This record gives sequence, C-alpha cells and structure tokens, in this order.
Amino acid sequence: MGKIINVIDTAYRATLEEQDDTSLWFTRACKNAGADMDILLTGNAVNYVVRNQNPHALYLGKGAIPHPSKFQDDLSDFIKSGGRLYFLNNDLEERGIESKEIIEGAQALDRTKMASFLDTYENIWHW
Amino acid sequence: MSSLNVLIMDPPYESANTATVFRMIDSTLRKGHDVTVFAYEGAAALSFKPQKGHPNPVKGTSEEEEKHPLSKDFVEGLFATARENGREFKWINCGLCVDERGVGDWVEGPVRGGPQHFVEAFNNCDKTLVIATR
Amino acid sequence: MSKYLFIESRDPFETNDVRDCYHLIKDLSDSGHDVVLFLVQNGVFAARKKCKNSELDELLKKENIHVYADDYSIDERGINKESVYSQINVTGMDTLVDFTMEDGRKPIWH
Repeated sequence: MGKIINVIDTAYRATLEEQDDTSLWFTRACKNAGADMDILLTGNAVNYVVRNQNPHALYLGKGAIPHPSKFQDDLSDFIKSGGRLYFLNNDLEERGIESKEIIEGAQALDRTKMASFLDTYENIWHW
Repeated sequence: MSSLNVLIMDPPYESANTATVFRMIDSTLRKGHDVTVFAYEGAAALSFKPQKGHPNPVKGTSEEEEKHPLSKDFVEGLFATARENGREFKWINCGLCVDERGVGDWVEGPVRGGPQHFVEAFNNCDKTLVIATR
Repeated sequence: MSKYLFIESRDPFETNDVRDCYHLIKDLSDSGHDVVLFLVQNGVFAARKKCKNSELDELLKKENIHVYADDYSIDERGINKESVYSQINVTGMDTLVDFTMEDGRKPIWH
C-alpha cells in the first residue's frame, strides 16, 4: 500500500491526561505493526522537536499525572526505530525556535519544497 | 467495487466531522463499496449503548417530541445500510480508548481492536482516510 | 503526475493552516498535479464570491484545480447558490465519495 507520511499539526492536545500525544502514539503503534511511516511536524507541533521540553508530574486532588510524555524522547525513539522525522522549518522560525534547541536526527523541510516532498508518499494522513 | 478504511477521532456532540463522516460512510456503502471504521479516542463513544435522548427545555419539547439524535443509532443504521446493500462493514473501537472512557457497552456490530487492526485494514483496503480531531 | 483530493472542513479565517493548505494546493498544481478541493462544513464559507480570500481566487484560475462545495453545508449556512463562485460546483456527498475512491487519487482530510 506504499509509504505513509503523517503530518502532525496540532500539539499538546490532551497530552497531559493521556500521558502521550495520541497522534504520535498511534503513528508509532502503526509503525510497530509494520506500516512504512514517516512524520512531518507542522504548525505548533514543530515544538515537539525542542530538546528541553520538561513536563513535570502533576498532582490534582487525589489524582496524579505522574509520567507526562516527553515528546523529544518519543521522537528520538521513532528515529532510532528507522522512521524519518521532518519538521517545517518556516513554522519553526515563525515561533522563534532556534536550530540549536532541537533534537538530533530531525530534518528541516522548507514550505517551498512541501509539494514535491508530499508527492514521494502514496498516503498522506493529516492529524 | 473497492473498499474504504476510515479513522475517526471526534467524540459525539463535539464536532461537525461526526455528521459528515456518517453521511460519507452511508454514501460509500450505498455506492457499493465496503467500509472499515476505526473509532479512535473520543470516537470510541459513538457506539455507546447507554446513550439516551432528552427533552429540550428551551424549546419546550418533550423527550418524545425532541427525538434527539443518538450517534449509537447512526452506527446501527450504517450496519443496516451495509446489509441492505450487500456490503461488508466493520466498525472497530480502539480498546484502550474504550477502557479509559468506560464506554465498553456497545450496540450490536462494533468489535474491539487496536492499531494493528487499523494497519491490517490499511493493507487490505483501497483507500484510507484519517479524520483527526482538532 | 499524481491526483490529490483535499477535503477542507475549516473556515479560511479560522486558522492560518487553511491558507497554508491553499498554498500547498497551488504548489501541487504548479508542479502539474491534478487537485480536487472539496469544501465541506465551515470550509464552504470560502465559496461566496464576496469572501475576501485572494488565495482561493488564485486556485480557481488554475485548470488542474477543481473546486467543489458540499450542498448540505451550503444550504445549512444559507449561502445562496447565486452568490457562489461560478467555478465552484455545488454537489453532494456521492461526488466526494467518487473522488475519494477514484483509482490513484490521494485523499487528505484537512
């Protein structure tokens, strides 16, 4: 069925109560199940490549969120598993994120190259 | 004849996506295609059996007059449409999503599954459409 | 050359992401690809001729971009058919299904 690019555009959506990003989690689960998947981060999701994300444990009354996910670690694991991780450089720059802040292995993509980039994939899933 | 695999994420009563995807699946089945739905995250509640209609105090209508739409009825209806048209229709509820929401009591038809079942459907279907929540 | 189907469900004034999607569609068209843009839900707010949306104007000038709008979404919002761009075909869900299932066309929900 061909290669899949997961374009993840929305960040930090219910990520504390889930202790995961559900789009990212699903991508990794599908990859583990044999799907040929890469990731392109756009919009505010480009912040997921920032190395210093540090969500603390939260205690809410008698409840707790003890292990909020560190997305830089999830993405590094994705790269180690053979997946390719891209981010839209324009969206990164608009948010004032500097290249020195980001994790190793994430590859920059310029918006002007997006059409030709997407055309290398048979399936485009927008999250 | 071909087949469509759809992932949906929105919970009932929160997004215009829900009505659109029900319309789209209904049309797909009527046009002679098979359909597999993977109900992920909030969408796992679409087939929740205890859903119940209610009156509308603002409009002054009783529960019977209001006939409040229930997404579980739409799910059942799609199974009926598939049967009438001789098409294969699968509705897979993400098991982990069901558990964390406590919505495991479903109308007849849906089955429990996980991402591996979505990948299996992706491999077996002609087209896959992901409709994420926002 | 590839074939794409973009299903745009959002108002162009709701988020920059919608305009970015229009730009991407134009880039795909400029590269010679065939693109269907299907407006649905609040995406149909772009369909009015008087909508201040120059990005869509550009798309409508292209021969290999075909724009459709969901008839129910149009009616639901009280948009007169006469006020819709003449290049936009107001059509039903069956058309969307046909494009989705068309051999070789890549569907993307946006």
